[in-house]
Amino acid sequence: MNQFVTIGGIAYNFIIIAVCTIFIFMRRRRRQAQEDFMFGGKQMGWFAIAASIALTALGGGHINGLSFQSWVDGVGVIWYCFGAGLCLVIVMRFTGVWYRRSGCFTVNEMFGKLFAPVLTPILAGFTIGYCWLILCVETQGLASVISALTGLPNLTSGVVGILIGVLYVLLAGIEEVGLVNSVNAILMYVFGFIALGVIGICVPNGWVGINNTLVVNTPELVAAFGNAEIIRSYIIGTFLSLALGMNFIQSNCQAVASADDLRVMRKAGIGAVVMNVMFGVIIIGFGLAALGLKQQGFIGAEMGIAGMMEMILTFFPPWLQICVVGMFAAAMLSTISMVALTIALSLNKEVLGHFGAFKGMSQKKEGTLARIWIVLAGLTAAIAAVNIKDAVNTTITWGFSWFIPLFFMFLIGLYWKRSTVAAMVTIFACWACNLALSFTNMAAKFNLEGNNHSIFLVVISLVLGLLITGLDKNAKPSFKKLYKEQRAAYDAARAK
Amino acid sequence: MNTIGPIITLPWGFFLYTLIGVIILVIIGEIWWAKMEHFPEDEQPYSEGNHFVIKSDLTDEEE
Repeated sequence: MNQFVTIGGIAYNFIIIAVCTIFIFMRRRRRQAQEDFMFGGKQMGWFAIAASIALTALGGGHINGLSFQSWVDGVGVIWYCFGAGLCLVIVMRFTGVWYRRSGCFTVNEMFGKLFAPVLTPILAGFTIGYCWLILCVETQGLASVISALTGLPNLTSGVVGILIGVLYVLLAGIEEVGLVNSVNAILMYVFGFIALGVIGICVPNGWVGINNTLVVNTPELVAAFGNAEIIRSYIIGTFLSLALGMNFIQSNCQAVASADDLRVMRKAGIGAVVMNVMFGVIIIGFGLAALGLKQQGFIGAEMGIAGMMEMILTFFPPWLQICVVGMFAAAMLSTISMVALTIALSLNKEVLGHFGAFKGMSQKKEGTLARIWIVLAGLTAAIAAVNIKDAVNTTITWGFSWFIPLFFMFLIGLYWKRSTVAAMVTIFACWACNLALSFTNMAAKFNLEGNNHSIFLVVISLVLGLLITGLDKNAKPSFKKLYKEQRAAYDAARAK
Repeated sequence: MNTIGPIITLPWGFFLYTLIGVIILVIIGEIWWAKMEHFPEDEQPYSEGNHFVIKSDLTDEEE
């Protein structure tokens, strides 16, 4: 057990959390402001929003998933990050803008109001399921890191990891998460790029040896677009899944709703894209460096995350080991916190909110209940996470694809017409297709096995969404028209 | 199997490759911002009482 690095990595996060929590409590006391656990009083600054959005979409899927996948698909894996980056552009310039304009608590509530009220609890159920899946992915990521450091079994490491994750968000809600994310976003890049430089100095033969080995043994892993097989089985499907599937996931929109006005979102959008995508350079760089070292016989690990951890613990100086491990934990903890908050929000507003005793809850009661949901979701995720060790990247891409039909139905409803029938049929047809693709070899018949569920769902969403909306004589006017009418009436009433 | 695209040198060639992608995404975002329809209410801060919430126009039957 590497006690020094384990304790150091955990202490790294505890110190940041403690300092930020104390700062927020003092500021709140000074302003005599009430706690807003879910939306931070809608006054978060652009950097905190950018960091929160960037780091929410950046966690175990990157650290565990990209390091693993880089051994299979090489630098082409960066298209996962480009897909996430394009998604953030879409959120900050389009879907998040309309979500904010709608004034709804959640994107599910917005879909319920626009297409069919029954969609709100259905989508809330899916959001909770999706967020719990991400909790499992992040917990597995933390478990891999803790396990590599301590030698503890995977399950025990997962429980330890999730306990730290729950603590991360339990104390002060989104405001604390925003500040902790801001601090972590800066430190992650500082230590990440220092580490890339250190690999060139501290590992045998440096980057020259790694590059030469990879070019000779596996040239497709260092080619900009890999090869035809990598493009077919990974790049296209993954890019589509990330870019179009993440737009209406509440955890990615949560920080958008915390912005005071749209000008804040403009700056936050640029910051979020840079922060999110550039992190891929660090992790894929680490993964491929570990593979180069394995090909030269300097490390013996059998897969990406284990190889990366072996490289860090073997060749990095101790202080940098602590910082890199702390940085990995921080990236995963930030995602855990945001998806845990989303689970709490969906359960409070969209499930419990339908029952009399919970209607119109005070912010204090909401905060207490949210903390209970976060603890329960975290502990159950720790137990379930043990089975997805090698499939993190696939799992997470699969998870995003469920939300692709929402993007296309929103697009059709915003600019053309809103059809309840079209929304229900399209969404359920896509979900049925995703199930069929998951449990049969249907994708292989189209020569689209791999991370390609998104391609099927894009086609089905477009065809069914447009066709049924066009045929539905009871379709309502577009969302844009509805918004303009209601907003004008609201502004006129305010002006009186 | 033949490779596609130039060989990327780690880590700084890869850094540059990714940076080009990021710059393209930021440009897309800024063009989108310039072209998108801006409403006056978008610049009303929430803290100044901008608490509009859209109402559903679906009929009772559908609700």
